[in-house]
Amino acid sequence: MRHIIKPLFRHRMMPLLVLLQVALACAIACNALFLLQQKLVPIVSPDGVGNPDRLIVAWNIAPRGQPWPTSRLDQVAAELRAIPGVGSVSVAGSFPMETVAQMNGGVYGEGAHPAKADTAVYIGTHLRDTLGLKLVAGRDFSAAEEGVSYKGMGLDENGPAIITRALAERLFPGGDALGHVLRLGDAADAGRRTVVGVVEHLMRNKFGQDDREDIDYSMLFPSIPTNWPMPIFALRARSAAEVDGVLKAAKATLKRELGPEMIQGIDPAYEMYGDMRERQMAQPKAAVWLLSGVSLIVLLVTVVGIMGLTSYWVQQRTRQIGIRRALGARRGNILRDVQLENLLVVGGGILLGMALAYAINLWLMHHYELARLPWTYLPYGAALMLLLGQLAVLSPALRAARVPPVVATRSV
Amino acid sequence: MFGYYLEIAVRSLRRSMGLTLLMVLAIGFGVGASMTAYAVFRAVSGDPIPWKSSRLFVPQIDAWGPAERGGSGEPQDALAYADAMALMRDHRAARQSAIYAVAPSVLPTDASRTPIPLDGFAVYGEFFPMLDVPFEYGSGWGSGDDARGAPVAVIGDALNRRLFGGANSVGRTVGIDGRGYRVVGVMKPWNPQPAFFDVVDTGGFGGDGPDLFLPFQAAIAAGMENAGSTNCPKGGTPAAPGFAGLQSSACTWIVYMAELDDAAAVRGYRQYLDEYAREQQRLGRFGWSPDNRLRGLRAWLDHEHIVPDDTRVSMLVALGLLLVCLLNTVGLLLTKFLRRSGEIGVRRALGASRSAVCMQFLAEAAVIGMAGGMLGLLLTGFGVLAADQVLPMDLTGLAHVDVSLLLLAVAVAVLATMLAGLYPAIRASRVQPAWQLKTQ
Repeated sequence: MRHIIKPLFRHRMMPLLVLLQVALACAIACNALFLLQQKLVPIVSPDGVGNPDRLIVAWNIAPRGQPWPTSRLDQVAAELRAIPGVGSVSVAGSFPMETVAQMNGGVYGEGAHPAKADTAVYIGTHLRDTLGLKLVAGRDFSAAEEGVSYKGMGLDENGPAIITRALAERLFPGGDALGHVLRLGDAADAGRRTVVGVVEHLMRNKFGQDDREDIDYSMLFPSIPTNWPMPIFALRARSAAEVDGVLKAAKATLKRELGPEMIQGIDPAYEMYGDMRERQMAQPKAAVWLLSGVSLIVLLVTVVGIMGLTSYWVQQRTRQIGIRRALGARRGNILRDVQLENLLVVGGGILLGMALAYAINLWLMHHYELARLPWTYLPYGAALMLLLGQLAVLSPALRAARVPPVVATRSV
Repeated sequence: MFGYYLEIAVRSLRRSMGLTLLMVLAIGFGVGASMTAYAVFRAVSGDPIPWKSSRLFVPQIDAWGPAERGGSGEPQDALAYADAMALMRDHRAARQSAIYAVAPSVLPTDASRTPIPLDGFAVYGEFFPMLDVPFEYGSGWGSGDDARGAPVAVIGDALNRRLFGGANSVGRTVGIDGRGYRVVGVMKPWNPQPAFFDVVDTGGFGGDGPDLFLPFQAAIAAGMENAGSTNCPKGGTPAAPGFAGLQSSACTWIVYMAELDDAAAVRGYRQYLDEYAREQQRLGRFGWSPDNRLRGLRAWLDHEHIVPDDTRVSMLVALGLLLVCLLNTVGLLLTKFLRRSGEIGVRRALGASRSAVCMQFLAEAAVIGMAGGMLGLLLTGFGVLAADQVLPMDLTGLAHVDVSLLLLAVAVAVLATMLAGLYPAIRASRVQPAWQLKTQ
């Protein structure tokens, strides 16, 4: 061991450069990969919506003057429902993948120390049906519940709610959520909602630093929101073949019914849900490209750097290696020594890099709204760097091992 | 001599193509990534009014008390009507204006007669000279028009084209929400990014610029409702309904900007704000001691988080990449230079000074930097194009490549590589000629 460590201190510069490179690469790659993983969450998580190719969404519908009364919207929804080929119609205040109107807030469970979750709310009629959400427990809203007219958005009022399984497990851990009551905020007079149903998945429409759990914290409230200035209409076609016909008829119906009362110059948008999802995912996808590109380049550049430096250092010590060979060291000994040396240097770099990664993460957390780097990243990062280090050193080490003993006798 | 060094550099680089290519690639990627990130960052963090931003200030008055403050402990971003009007009445700054967003529509006189929705702001006459708003025709209005709430208007270039075919329309009348307003000024195309005069309502970026400015009191008198954000304290929802109720409530919805020309004026205004809040405390309107802010424009934009966090973080990530690439270049240059110890020994023995050797290797580093810079330029171009495709809608088109960015990219590449080459070059120049000659 001593014959490996000592030279490291005698020729400080080469090992130091390798160590610094590894440390920096480790720190940056750990943070970049962590950011990458966060950006991947909305892309790879299920949004719960069934058959997105049959779901038509009409949004950006702006009334001139006062918002439309709910009775009027209900009547338009009935007209839309009468279109042949339509399976289900919703009038909603907010919608998955629609970020113009977001309703989010802290929701609390029961008990003296209730669990809390930042949750997205979708308020509208027949949303479970139209979104094609899979009910895993309980029931859908009843016709009576759908018909209730709440004051305003209904966020302060009592009533029923359908929540996702992830939210149910978070708020009411270790049990059946059905029949339990959640509170909308921590105020004493906050609205209370009784859970009547649990759906498998439903992605929220506020993306941030989510993990696979909290991106699924959403719930549904029944009925059309009162006094809501931007209603959203969603139609589910019975089959993919009928989508085009339904879309055309829906455009005509909305134009006929609400067109004259809309603000001139603001046109409603008609989109397939799948396209909305694509649009929302464009930015995280771009970030994924950027971050994976950066991580890849950082790691590649580091491997190349280690390779270059080690092969030079090996070349420098050709004669010394020759002497050791002449004194009886086997090829395997030389190979192992170079690899061990690399292991030590890279290991030192990793230790420094972990500290640095943590410091960068702390700094980012302080200045930007970023989450804490989970410590599970560190061993994975360390293993990856060690592996890359060994990979990089393989060719110089083999070259060192091939040095014939005879060089010891030459030109000394 | 320098030309000769360059020639040697090119020769030596040709001799070890692989290594050279690696260094060029490393620097190219580092520079390309960081310049792309910088182009986006520059686009969103630029000073919208650099010649004056140090003299523009935004006051914040704690009108809700400590219990209503969020986690940040900061007072509200906007002012309540009562406070904004008191500040305007006292008129303590060199120039000042209360501002709120309006969204009326105008009825054109042409055949179509479909109303055009407008993005406008209700402001005071001092708004225009304070922010150096450029005028094509006419000018802003005077303090008399402010006081009377006169029906006058300043319109944007686009609206002037739409309504009057781009002619000098000063003195003509436009029908806005059913009332006639006399045009007193037509702006040149003016769409500062970020829209610094009202980032609270505009969010900073996007839009085609304001179409219209109306006198504050005229808009209030016409009942033109606030089209921007309104925030009310808990339990402080307006007692009376409608726009009149909003005006008598503690809800905050008015943005305020003041011009203060020197440090003494800033100090004075700060004092004045505190005195005002104390006065309100005495009158019983505020049940707490003053906690006001007076931020300069740049600090204000920072406070409002105008630059998206994602942009800053990608800038940092790209800088990190550049750093890794440079460190790598240090290593590769060191091995490259020291491999030629024999050559250095011969040169030194033939009389080259240490500094000459050092210069020669620095020239070599500069050539690599230049090549890396060229590659970086190319990658920056692609990067900015790609960024335009993937940025959110309201930022699209802001990031662009211009001469200064190109020069910066090459300069960063060359300087960074020379910096990276400094230690290897010095190290190379220290090579002992005797040793090298002996071993050969």
